[in-house]
Parts: sequence; structure tokens; C-alpha cells
Amino acid sequence: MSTRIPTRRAAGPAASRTGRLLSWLAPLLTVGGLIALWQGYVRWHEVDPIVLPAPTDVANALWRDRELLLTATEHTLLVLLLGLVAALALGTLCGIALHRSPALRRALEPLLVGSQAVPIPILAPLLVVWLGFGLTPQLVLVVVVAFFPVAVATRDALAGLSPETALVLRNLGATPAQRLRLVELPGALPGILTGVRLAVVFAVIGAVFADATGQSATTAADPTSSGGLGRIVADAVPQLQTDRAFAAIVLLVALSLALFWSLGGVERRLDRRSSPSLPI
Amino acid sequence: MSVVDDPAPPAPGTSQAEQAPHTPASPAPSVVAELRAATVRHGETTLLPPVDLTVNAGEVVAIVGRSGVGKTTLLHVLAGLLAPTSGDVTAHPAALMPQRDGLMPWATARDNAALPLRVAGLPRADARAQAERQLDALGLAGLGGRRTARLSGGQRQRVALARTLLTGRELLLLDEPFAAVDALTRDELHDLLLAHLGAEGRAAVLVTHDVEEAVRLADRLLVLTRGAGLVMPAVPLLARPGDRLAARGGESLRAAVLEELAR
Repeated sequence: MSTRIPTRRAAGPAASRTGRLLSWLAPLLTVGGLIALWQGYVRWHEVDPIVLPAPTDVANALWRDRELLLTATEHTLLVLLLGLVAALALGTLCGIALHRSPALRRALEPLLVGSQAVPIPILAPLLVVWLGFGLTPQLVLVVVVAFFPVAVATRDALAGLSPETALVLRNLGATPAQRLRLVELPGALPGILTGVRLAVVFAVIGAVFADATGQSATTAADPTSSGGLGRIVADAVPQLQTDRAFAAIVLLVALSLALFWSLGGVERRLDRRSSPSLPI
Repeated sequence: MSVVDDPAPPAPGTSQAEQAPHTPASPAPSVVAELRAATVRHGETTLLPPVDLTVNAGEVVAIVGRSGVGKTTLLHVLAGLLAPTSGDVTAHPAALMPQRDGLMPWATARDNAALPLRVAGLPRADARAQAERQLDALGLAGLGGRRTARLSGGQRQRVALARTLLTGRELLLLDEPFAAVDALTRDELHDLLLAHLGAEGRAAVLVTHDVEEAVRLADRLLVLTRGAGLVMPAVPLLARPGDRLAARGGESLRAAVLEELAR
């Protein structure tokens, strides 16, 4: 029997390099193709740029309004990062609490799920009424929407501990704190990170709504004051500057992707590392 | 149940004391664990029939019996994880190696083996260095940095054994430790276990459903049936486990155990 079964590995490093290239090329091609279609459609049918600006118009707006967009991006990024860090801390703590106490789980579950059922467009202006303008209501909104996936992921990941390992820990006389630090959290880390990655998507939506409702009164006179990208979208559409609104959306998408991918990178690095453990 | 560091000597005249293997080097073998009419019941169900058992320092006691007869329960009682419903237990702190290894699959062999040391409060670097040495001694040199999820079944059992040994406790409780490995690996692991127990003078209680294995490894056998635990006479102590099977006592003991189990 000398038939060789072709395998991926047998194809050698050259093949894996093409594979890697393809994995980069594929998303570029789909996105590029879509943009080309869009451009062609708008030009062919001579669509009014107020209704649908062509990709070149959007690119133009990106450059033309770069200062306005840059400050807005900075603002949104700040809200997102602060909100995500807070959501990670609160979500992890909440997940640990839910894992530890079945009574607490029963008590909090309706509240947690309920908090996710409240529509963001309704919650956003209410938070402004309660907390005033500024960063606080925006952060609160991001945390409210982003902490839920983190809490659920943490709870599920912590529940993944095998009963045998639990027996060993009991036999060793490990304290609950040791159990958490040495075994449960390191084991749950990948799961928690997946939760954070999901939370990014929710957080961006939360940040945009918070922004859009937050400061219309103050930013009407001076649009560059302290609004984020959501503010720009909300203002640009009634001002018939659709290209600017699209430019802001492009930046929002780029922000989400950058956050999503860098968290994916952290996850992969953690996976490659010999053994995840806490730096304690 | 009570766990004591220095248990009282066994009551004179009990059958277990008479059956203790006589080792000239230690004329008065000290007792590391003792059960007296210990039972575990959960409602109407009997999880452990009344058992009398004395484990002396340095000896291997094998527990054989059918599934569901209470072998694992007995280990948990000895480990202090379960209090007997009636009867008495005195035992030194014991190290449990549960069925299906209980390793953390995401962690390295080194970190898994180091767990008892970390729980004992050793700094990470020291714990890892000690774990690495123990893994080397168990034939896992160079594999300390590998995740246990990527080890073979036999290698995982070695890691679990390393973790159990690193507790430093003088009584090891092994719950079917070699059930999931192939016959060749099992032989290797048997030799390894006996070598380590012998070198360090530790005692072990070994649960197995494999009579062959029990006869080969044990100084004494406890046959657990639905009625009660019955301690079989000692196997003649010979230098190598292979010799035990060959010894006259080995064959007849094996037959006796099988007969007992068939009842």
C-alpha cells in the first residue's frame, strides 16, 4: 500500500502561506466587491448623494471632516474602552457571584434578563434625564448593555469545572479564594474573553445611542464640543449631510472590528501560551 | 468522623491487627487509617455496607468489588470528604486521586502536578520546580510544559499520580487509577507506583475492579460485597509484584477473590 493520502500538512509550508494570504484576501474581496457594486449602482442610476452617497463621496467626507471625525472617534473610543473595562469588572464579579450562590442566581436572573429587554432607544434619553449630560449616562448605558454577556459567559465558564477537579480541591483543603484563583478563573478565562468579544458589539450600539440622545441641546451651537460618532450621525442626517453620516458609520464599523479583532488576538495568544494562569 | 495526626494503636485482638503484614524493619507498624463498622446511608439506600479496615503505614490495600457496591464511597470516607452515617473513622490526612484523573485540561502537566503545593501556599516558581522534578521521576521528563489535554491517557495518569504524590500525605487513595490505560502502560504504572510507595514508605488504598491488578499490587485485599467488607488474608510479601502472581498464594487468592465476588 503506497497510496499517499494528501493532507493539508503534506502540502508543506508554501500551501499554508497561500492559505494565510487567502484568509486575508477573502474578506478584502467581499468588502471591496460590495463597495464596487455600491459605487457602480449610485453612478449608474445617478442617485442623489443626499439619499445615498457613493463610496467616493464618503471617502471624500472622511477627509474633509477629518478633524471633526477624529475628535468624535476619540470620544467614542474613550466611552467604549471605559465602558468595556467597567463591564468586564462588573460582569466578571456578577458571574462569580451567580456561580457561587444559587439563591443569588434565582434572585438576580429576572433583573439581569430584564435589563437586557429594556430597549436602548428608550433607556438612553431617560438616563440623560436622570444623570444629566456628559460622560456618565453614556458610560452607564454602555455598561448596562455590555456587562450581561460578560456575566453570563463568566458564570457558564466557571460552571465548566469538572466534578473530579472539585473533589481534588476539597481533598486538598483549598479555600474558596484559592479555588477561584488557582483553578476556576484561569480555566474560565477563554470563556470570559469570548463574552467580552460579544460585549464589544453591544457596547458600540450602546455608545452610539447614548451619544445620539445625550447632547443635542448643547452641541447644536458647537458641533465639535464633545460629541462622539453617534452625535455626528444624529446631527448629519437632518442637516442633509448624508456623506458625513456615512463617514461616521464607517469609523464606527472600523472601531468595532478593531476591538473585536484585537480581543480575538488576545484570546489566541492566551491559547498559545502554555498554561493560562493569573499573574498572582 | 475524626482525622487525627497520631491515631491510637488498633484495639488488641481485632482481626485486622492480626492480619497486618509483618515487616521486620518496623516491628510495630503504625496505623494510618482505621474504619470500624463504618457505613454510609442516604435515605433507604446503603452507599457503603459496614466495613472494618485498618491500613498500616507503608502497605497497599486493594478494594475489589462490583460496580455500585461502595468502593468509591469508602475512599471518600477515608479522604474525609464524606462522614459515615454510623461507625468510626480515624485517618491521617490522605491524598485522593479520583476516577478519571480530575486534571485541569487547559493547564500544563507541571501546573496540574503543582496544584497541592500552590494550595499549600508555595510560590509559583518553587511549586513548578518541584512539580517538574516529580514529573521527571514518573517518566514525563520534557512534558511538563504541555497541556494535559494534549497528553495520552497513560501520561495523564502519571500527571495525576504526580499531583497525588506531591501532597506529601502518607496515605494515598487511588480510585481505579489505571482503568483507562492499555495493558502495557498499566504494567509500567504498576511498577512505578510500587517503586514510589516503597521508596517513601507511604500507604495506599487502591480501588479496582480488576482482580488481577489487586492481587498484583496489594499487600491485602478488601472484597466489598453488598453485605459487608471482608478482608482477605495477606498476600505473601515478595520483592517484585510479578513474583506475587507466580507465588502459590497468588493463584489461590485470585480464585478466592473471584469466588467471593461471585456470591
